[in-house]
Amino acid sequence: MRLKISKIKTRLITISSGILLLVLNNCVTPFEPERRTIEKQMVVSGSITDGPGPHFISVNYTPPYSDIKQKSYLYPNNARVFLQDDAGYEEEMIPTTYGTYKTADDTKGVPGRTYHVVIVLENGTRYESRPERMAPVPAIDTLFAEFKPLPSTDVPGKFSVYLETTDAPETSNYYWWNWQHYETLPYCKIVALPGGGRLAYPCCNPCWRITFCDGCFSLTSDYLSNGKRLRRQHITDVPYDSKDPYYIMVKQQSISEGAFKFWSAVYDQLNNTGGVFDKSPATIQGNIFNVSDPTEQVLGYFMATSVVQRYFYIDRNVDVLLVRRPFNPYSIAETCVNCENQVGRTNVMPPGWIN
Amino acid sequence: MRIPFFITDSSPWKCCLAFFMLAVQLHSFAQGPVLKGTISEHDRPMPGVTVYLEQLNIGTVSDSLGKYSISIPSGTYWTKFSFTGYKTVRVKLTVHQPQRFDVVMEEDITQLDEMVVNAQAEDHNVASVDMGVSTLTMKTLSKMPAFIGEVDIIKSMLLLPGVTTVGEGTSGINVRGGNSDQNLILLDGMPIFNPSHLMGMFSVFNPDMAKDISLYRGGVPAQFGGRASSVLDISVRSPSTKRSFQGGIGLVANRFLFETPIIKDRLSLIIGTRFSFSDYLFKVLKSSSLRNTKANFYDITGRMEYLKGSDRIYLTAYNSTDVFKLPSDSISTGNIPPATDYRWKSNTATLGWIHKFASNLSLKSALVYSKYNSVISSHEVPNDYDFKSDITYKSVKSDLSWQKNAHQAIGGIELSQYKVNPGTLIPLSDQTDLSLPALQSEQGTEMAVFGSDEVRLQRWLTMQAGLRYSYYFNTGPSTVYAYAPGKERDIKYITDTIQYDKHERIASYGGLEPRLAFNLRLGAKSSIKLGYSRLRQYLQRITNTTASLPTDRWQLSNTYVKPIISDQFSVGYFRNFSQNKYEASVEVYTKNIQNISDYKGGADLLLTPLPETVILQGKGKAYGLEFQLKKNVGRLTGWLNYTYSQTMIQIQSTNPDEQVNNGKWYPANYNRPHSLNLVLNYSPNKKGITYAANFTFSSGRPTTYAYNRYYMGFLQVSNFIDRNQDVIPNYHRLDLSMTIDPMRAANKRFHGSWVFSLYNVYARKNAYSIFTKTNGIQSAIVSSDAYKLSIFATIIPSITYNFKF
Repeated sequence: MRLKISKIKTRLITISSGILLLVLNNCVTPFEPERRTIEKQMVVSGSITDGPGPHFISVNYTPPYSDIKQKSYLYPNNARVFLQDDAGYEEEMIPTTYGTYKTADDTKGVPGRTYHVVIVLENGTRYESRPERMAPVPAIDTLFAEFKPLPSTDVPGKFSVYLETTDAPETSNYYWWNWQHYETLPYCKIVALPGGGRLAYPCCNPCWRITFCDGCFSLTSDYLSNGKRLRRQHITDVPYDSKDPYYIMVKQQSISEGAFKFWSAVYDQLNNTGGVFDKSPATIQGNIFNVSDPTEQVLGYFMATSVVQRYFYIDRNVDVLLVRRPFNPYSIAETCVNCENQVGRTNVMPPGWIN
Repeated sequence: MRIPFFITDSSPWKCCLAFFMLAVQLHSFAQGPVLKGTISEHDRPMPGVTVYLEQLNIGTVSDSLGKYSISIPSGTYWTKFSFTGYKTVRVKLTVHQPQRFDVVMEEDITQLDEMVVNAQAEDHNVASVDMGVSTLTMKTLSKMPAFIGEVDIIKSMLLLPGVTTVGEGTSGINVRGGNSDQNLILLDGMPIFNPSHLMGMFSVFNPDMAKDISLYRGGVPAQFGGRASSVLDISVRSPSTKRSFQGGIGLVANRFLFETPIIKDRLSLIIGTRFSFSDYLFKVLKSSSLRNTKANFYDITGRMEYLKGSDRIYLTAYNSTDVFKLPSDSISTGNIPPATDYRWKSNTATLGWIHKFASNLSLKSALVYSKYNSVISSHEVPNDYDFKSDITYKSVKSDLSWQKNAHQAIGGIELSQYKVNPGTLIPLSDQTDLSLPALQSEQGTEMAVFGSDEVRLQRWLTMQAGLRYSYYFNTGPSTVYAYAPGKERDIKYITDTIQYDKHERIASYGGLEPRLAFNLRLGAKSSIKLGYSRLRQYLQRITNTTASLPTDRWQLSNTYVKPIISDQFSVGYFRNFSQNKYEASVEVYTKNIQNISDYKGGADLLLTPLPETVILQGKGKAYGLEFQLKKNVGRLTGWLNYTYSQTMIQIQSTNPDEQVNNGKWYPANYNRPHSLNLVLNYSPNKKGITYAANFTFSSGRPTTYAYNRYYMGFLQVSNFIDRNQDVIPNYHRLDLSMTIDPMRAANKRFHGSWVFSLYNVYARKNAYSIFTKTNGIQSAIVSSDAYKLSIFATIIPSITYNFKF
């Protein structure tokens, strides 16, 4: 399991800080330290998978600390991005928007191959990723959920979702999981009316809202369970706020050792509690470097991963009282709005969807 | 008389002394008749009693068997015998030939209620060769305002100059630029590996059982070794000849102590325990996830003593246990399994024998055993397991101390064995699928010979010359990996594995550890002291969290992990004022540390089978200035100290991945350049009410801020560039306390006292850390921002009741 004991340690830390915090009237207050201003740095992120294309790579610069809200607006103009593999394949990726590049729609990684990206800036500066081997990934054997009551009237319980898979006999396999939740979206646009109330425009075509969370990944190595079944790998907790079935799509990916270290460090950063028992923060080493100046710090990671996914309906019809929150009704508009594919929304029916 | 001072009569230490002494001819103190005797109380010898000849301005202290001996010019002198809490005996003695004078000391009940800072000669500050040494009696500590009413030996050390901590609520102390694992913490000679209860909120020593506490920040005597920074020597109280009970009831812990003779004047016992019932602290919480947390601790200390003729035999045993259990329904972040508990325990024992051959020659031998273990248990089926780690220490030590004329010498040997089991995963049920490739256990042996002589070379010059030679080796069974030269030490560059059998020697280290101190008297009131010491450390704790956890891993020196070596030079000016009423000192020190450890960024240390791939070793340097003013007598007593210090680390390597901050010097986690402490104690009258106040200030510890952020998908990742380049805000706090300890009526057996205290009186929200918190993990864009975490962010009142009968 991924450093399970370390996780426990994290929890020990969380709880022990908790004791200090809660018993002794702690406080966490926003604090804006004086930060040094530093030169912008190159950030490369993206991946090639064995799933259907296109696959994306983004090439950006870091904004000043306080300007982070302008996501991805700083990027090198006219850079060229190439995807290469160890069998001599090379593809130049097509620029889209805001420093993002995509492969052809039919590009598909092959497990066992090794991939890397080459980025050439307009001024000739060349960046490369270290080669990443796409390791094969086993299928998800099963997904299941367990109900756990919570002492809250709004959300009187939660469903913990677990996954099981079988690790390959060789050592040093690394797994990375994330999930997406789909639900039908009846209204594609809601506007606030002057004088109160809201007006909802129905979707003209079938539409789904996608709830996803880039910070909700989990990961593990086979260090403590090589060649065995990885059991009860916790994926997420689903709130018991409705009795309707809950659709979840779980993605399982094989990642390289380097990617595992990178994401473990990100995980630690996400779960930082501020206690003195936290690991001291440190630079998260990526796998991109400047070919002519290896001392330049380049941020981000390029991954080559094999992906499997599996959907699961959580039956939330448990015998626990659920008080529905009063719903503030909309006024329904007479015209409809088209459902477009965008972040958090799709008009493509998710696999296995039951209406 | 002109004699080479080390060539004396047929001292068994002739050879030992000779090997570290320069053959320099030096003056010894003027010879004359010897005044000697035994100091006792209820027929029990009393060590540590000051014998002071007023006109001569010289003195000595009784040894562990209550014997004293001092050579003086013929004449008639007022001689004073004094000890804290006892009536001073002042007699006029005429000495023309060797003379014996025995003294029986009597407890002074009224004096007990007065604040006394230490039990040393009045001019000890100026007269002794001690530098960077602080001795506190429990009486001093018990009057100081305590956090939640718990008198805490380790936390009290923070009010001494040169001692800092990384944060409130952590138990480690940093002494003159040393990491918290560089302190040798000895309880009656038994090393304590984890001094914390409740994750560091309290330290593990029962204050009732301690006699006095010495902290050697510099000038560590030759009989101590094995840690690079300091020695905290806590001595356990000897049982009294009268049966008595005492105890205390506090908000966190209760204490009971019982002492009794078993065979009159021969065998006696003292046993003290302390146990918490802190579960209730959790019961009042609103958060259900913490309400059922169980956190309990207890410790028990016992000492039995047997006295007969010139022999004293003692057995001290100690146990400290913590249980920390999280409720099974407390899933806070899904990723962590529920139903986990943590237990850590120290078990130590020592058997010692002190034999007196003559009034000036005694042999002390001791067997020491100390074991620390910690367990992390998960009860979540099917991943239920115990993760157990432990460290075992066994040693035998013997030293001979000898006094003659102007000499006070000690020499001895010490043999220690360490065994570290970094961790074993034990499945708790058949269903458990987890297995952990074995983490190799480590074995090490440390041998030391030491000798030291404190000699008064001139009336104005005293020298303490000590030398310790330590030799260490680790042994199999073990597998040592060889790494490709020039490459990063990483699993992928392993070129060979070498197997070592049981007891087979793998790597060895060793060397001399000189300890030198000089006192140059500049008259009756002032002196200049100089000191140099070298210390070697073969065992370290590996942790990359700012404060240490009870579950942290320990690491012995081996092929790759080199021992820590520290060299300290110090010089100080000491002066007393107004008949020793005020003591002042200024000390300057500089320290060089070799093989100080840091870690690769974000490395996981607990489970790694190859710790050498994540430990980085480099250089450390520390320097500082400590100023202290102390008032020891009168209605108002206390001290004020100010320390300026810097501690820097440099980790350089030809391999960029094995450097920290590109090989540049950077401040250590615990570097707090300015610190100031004020401790005041005021007893307005003899009614037994004492008011006390502490004020403490220290500049913020280093931290690392993110200078920019970037996105991985919709996830904001903060980028931390160089370690420890920023500091958190300054820390300061005022505590107050009032002790009501009415004078005990002579005919009444029962005695009770109250301590009321206020911690953090002006409720300052001191920064514990500044950290980057990730907001809204569940939302689409995961952003991060900086926050200040304060704990103890309010005023904390407490009340403790102590009794004795």
